[in-house]
Amino acid sequence: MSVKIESLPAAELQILVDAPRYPQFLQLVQQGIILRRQVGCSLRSFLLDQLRLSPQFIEENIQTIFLDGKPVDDLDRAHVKDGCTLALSAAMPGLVGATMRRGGFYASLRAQISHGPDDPNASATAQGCVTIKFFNNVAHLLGKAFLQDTFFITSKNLEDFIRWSRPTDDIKAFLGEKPFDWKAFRAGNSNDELVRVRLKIV
Amino acid sequence: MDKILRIDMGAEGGPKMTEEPLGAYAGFGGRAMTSAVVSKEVPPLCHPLGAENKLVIAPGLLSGTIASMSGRLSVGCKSPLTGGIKESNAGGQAAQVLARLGYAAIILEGKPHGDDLYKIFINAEGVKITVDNSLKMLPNYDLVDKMKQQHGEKITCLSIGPAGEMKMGAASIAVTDMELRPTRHAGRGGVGAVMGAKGVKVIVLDDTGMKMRPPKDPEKFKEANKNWVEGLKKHPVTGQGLPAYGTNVLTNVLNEAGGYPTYNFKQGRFDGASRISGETQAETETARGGSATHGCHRGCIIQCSGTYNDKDGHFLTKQPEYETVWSHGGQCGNADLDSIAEMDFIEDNYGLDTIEMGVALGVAMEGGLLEFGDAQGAIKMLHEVGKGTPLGRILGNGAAFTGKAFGVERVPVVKGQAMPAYDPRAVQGIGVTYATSTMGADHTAGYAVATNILSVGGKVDPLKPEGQVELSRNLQIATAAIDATGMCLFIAFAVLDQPETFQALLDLLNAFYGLSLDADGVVTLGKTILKMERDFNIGAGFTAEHDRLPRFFKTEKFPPHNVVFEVTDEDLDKVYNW
Repeated sequence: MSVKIESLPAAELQILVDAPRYPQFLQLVQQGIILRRQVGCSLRSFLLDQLRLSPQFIEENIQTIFLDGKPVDDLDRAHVKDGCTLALSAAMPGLVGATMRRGGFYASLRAQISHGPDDPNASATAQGCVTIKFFNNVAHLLGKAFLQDTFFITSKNLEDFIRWSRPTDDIKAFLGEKPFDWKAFRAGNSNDELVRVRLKIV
Repeated sequence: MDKILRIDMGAEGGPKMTEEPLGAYAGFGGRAMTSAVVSKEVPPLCHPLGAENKLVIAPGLLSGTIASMSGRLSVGCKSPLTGGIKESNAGGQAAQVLARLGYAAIILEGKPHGDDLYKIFINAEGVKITVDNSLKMLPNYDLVDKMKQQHGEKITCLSIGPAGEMKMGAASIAVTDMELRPTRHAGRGGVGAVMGAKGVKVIVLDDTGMKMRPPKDPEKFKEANKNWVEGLKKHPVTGQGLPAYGTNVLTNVLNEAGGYPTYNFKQGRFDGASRISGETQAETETARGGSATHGCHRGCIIQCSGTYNDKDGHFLTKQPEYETVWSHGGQCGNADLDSIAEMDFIEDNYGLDTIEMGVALGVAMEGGLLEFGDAQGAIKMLHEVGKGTPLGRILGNGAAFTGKAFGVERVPVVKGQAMPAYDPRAVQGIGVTYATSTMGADHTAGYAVATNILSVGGKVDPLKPEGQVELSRNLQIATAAIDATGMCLFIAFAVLDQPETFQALLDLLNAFYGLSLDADGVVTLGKTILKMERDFNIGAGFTAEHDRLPRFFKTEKFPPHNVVFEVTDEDLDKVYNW
């Protein structure tokens, strides 16, 4: 999804949730949150410098990576561009789980959908928007920190989240200064309209 | 585990049982045992529901010991669904209990002359076979409750529900778990229909007074098991991912990869995936007082199962597995986890394979029986199956049968068996296994991701596309061997990455039996099993034409990657060249 930085909303939806009920908001990182970051760099550089992950964390916890839905094998030859979608996962079970693993022994079994090497000169270094998805143990390890920082989600994803996760009224939320009514929220005509969000765990 | 129990259900005067030593079947367990018996004793051209077919129930080589993860049970026969040989594999308590009772196999043969329904009770004192027509058409949960009333709480049951009695192609054999619930199933291939054709409703096992099977070298065995457990616990998949989220952890990943078959294999992404993912499922289970971490049998340390409660906190079903969630989720366009869990319970109760039924429902939706996403309509259809209405009998005979009945072209089956939750256009290597497996479309036929450790078939360059046929072959060989041990296939992930854990598995086998088995021996065992199965299928009339995916996989581009299955027929025909 292509997002224009100048169109990012200024008003922030702040959600106050107690720690026991915060895990239901991990649904948002499964669906994908949009972050404004420097793009036009290698995937390795993006993970290290933009998401501030350590090399050790990447090595130990992120064995499966998809860039625009394609499994990545080489972090240095895949490049993060404005509007792309990046999904991070731990090692997965099953033959297909093993197949999706980056640089794994069974990578050839999904050769038709693998992420090939990018042209490093194809996109300029600039601020851009990247949709980030965290799955399984990666969501468990990183979700809390990223949800407590500012992120954006599409209004459709927010509406879907409210419809299916049914956050109760005692989870307070404010849009700007005004109380936010979970039940009244509708995505409106444009599903791609963005909402700026930050979670506060109280 | 030094004897075989044979029960001739068609004997004059009623079922006749005999016990015999292992003889030519010595050294075989699990899938090796079932496939050896079927290939040697069952005429390949027999009718699967006829007197000549045999139902073989065999624990693995290490079942009944203290070896962790050794509780898988193999059930073999000629399949009424595929027409070929079948080994259907289940967790639950039965393998351990059967092995401790001393049986390497139970073989049901012949066919009863009347329509009486039988109960078989086995304990340390012997075997008792009785007519019990009060059990007719009981669903599995009610049946097990009745067995508990009759025999107490220390039993294990293998049973069929109404689907098995009606001899449906999707009928399973249920195996009770640690809580004595019929939640584990030998699901694939219609093995429940064969048990139904033998007139056996339930086999009740009671191992009271029996001890763990003693190894030849207790000290070495104990040490090997310690290393084995350590290896499984320290690996991120077997020690973290599976215990935390179960197999359904794959939903988000397959969906992101564009390999998640959706709306009856039309596309590779489902909008509702995150609502039915393993992460969401685990969170839902925990929030409702259930559990996201639970074993299906004693001695399981991976604990990939769980307990799924309804909104009021009452038990609804065990944690549905990835394939079940997919087949009733993405395949049917359904993003409602509660309805998926309800369908899982219904199918366990009627005794149905959840993959076959979910795929059949998706095919029926494409045929216009229901709208995609109509979960309540799908639940009604499953009750039609349980009642045995004409429509229910169509659905209960599987996806291929349903596709014919509703005039659907896109029917994802191989050798008549429904395809599991990985589209072979996105992951072409698994398509090779679907096409060429002796079992029909079966993801577990090439599951043992241990080929690099085994070095089976030589070294393959994994990054060369032409390696796919060779990898599939090697995976099938490794899987067949592991299926013989009684070990859960999930051990393969730790074996893949940790050579010392594979060595621990070999040490377990060697210390128990006093062998000196090495990787080559494991490969030989896998090849022996596959050859027996392949020969049986050839005898049953299978040719190279049966080792193919349905045509639409080659002609319909699969979004979002818009790929088709590209492995050539010539390459598929090379899989069994070794």
